[in-house]
Amino acid sequence: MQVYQMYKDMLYNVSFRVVKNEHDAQDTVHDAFIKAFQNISKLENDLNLGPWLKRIVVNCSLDVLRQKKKLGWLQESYEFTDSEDEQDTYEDITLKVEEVKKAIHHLKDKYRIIMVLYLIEDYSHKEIAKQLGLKEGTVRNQYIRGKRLLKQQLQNSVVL
Amino acid sequence: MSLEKFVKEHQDAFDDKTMPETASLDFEARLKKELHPKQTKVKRLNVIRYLSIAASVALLVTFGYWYQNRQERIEKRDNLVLALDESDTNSSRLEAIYEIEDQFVNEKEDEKILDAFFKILKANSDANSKIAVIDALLKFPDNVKVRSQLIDALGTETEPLVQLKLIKSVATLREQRAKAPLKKIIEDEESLPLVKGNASALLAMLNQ
Repeated sequence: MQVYQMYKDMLYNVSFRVVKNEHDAQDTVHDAFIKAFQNISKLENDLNLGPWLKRIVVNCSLDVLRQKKKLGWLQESYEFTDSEDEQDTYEDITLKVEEVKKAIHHLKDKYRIIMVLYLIEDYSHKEIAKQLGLKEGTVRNQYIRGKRLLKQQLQNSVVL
Repeated sequence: MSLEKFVKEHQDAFDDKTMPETASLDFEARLKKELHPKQTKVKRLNVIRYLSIAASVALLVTFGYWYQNRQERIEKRDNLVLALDESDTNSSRLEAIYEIEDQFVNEKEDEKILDAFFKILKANSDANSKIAVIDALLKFPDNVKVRSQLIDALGTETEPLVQLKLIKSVATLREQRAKAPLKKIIEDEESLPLVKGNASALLAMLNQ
């Protein structure tokens, strides 16, 4: 229970960002802990416990979305062959944590999940692609699109 | 500041939620249960029977499903085009463009969708929407109408970011008809040096 107490909040935040539902996030964190305890022998270095648990909770959270059929967009995602230019900067917007969080939360799943995993959970495009079964170029492009949409949303909120 | 840098610098602020205390009790109970699981009976299923029923049902509904699916796609396309037409904010317009691109890009070009995209290209839309539309249109490089519309846009567009995107697009299409609008951009005193430079480079390439 010590490990649970130490990491539960961190994992809860990770899961909530993916599943967007408090109750599901709680269940997912519990599933992740059970899974982790069952596979604790696979952890090679205790120092990696936090990141290891984080990976497990991300997997479990994506499983929840799959079960709820909220990852249908994966089949619809167009497989991009060329990477678009990443030319978006946020120089003209004053960023505020709450507004960024809110804007990410309101993005469609197909952009939000990739944004969350890349921006906040520190996954690489390659890791996200593997996790979601997409091509790396597709993830990269969805990320750029997500950033553009996020920027538009933030600009709108400034105007409002 | 870049978005990535901003998030890194405020990483802790993104973790502001706490797990409810009652959840700990639930977890403790669940952990005990998981460590001492009850044995459950494995139900034996009559696989062949279920498979034969499933196959019969599948045969019956296949045709109906195909027809319904086709109707649904037409309806979906119309709704998306309507949403694009009626979008009142830049973000909703951009989202609608991406949605259409994702849904219909693997299909043969659709006149209704192309017309909606051309409308954005001509209208006084925001740069991001126009860039997204150009990307979407480039999926149909052999379409005569698409090629003409991109060249027309090159002649009328004044927003530098969109101009650059159009120059890049026309370069991939290797369109000789782009020479006139390129000259116009080069001669225009209002054009940014970067845009002029790109236009000159493309013009030189087309003249080779």
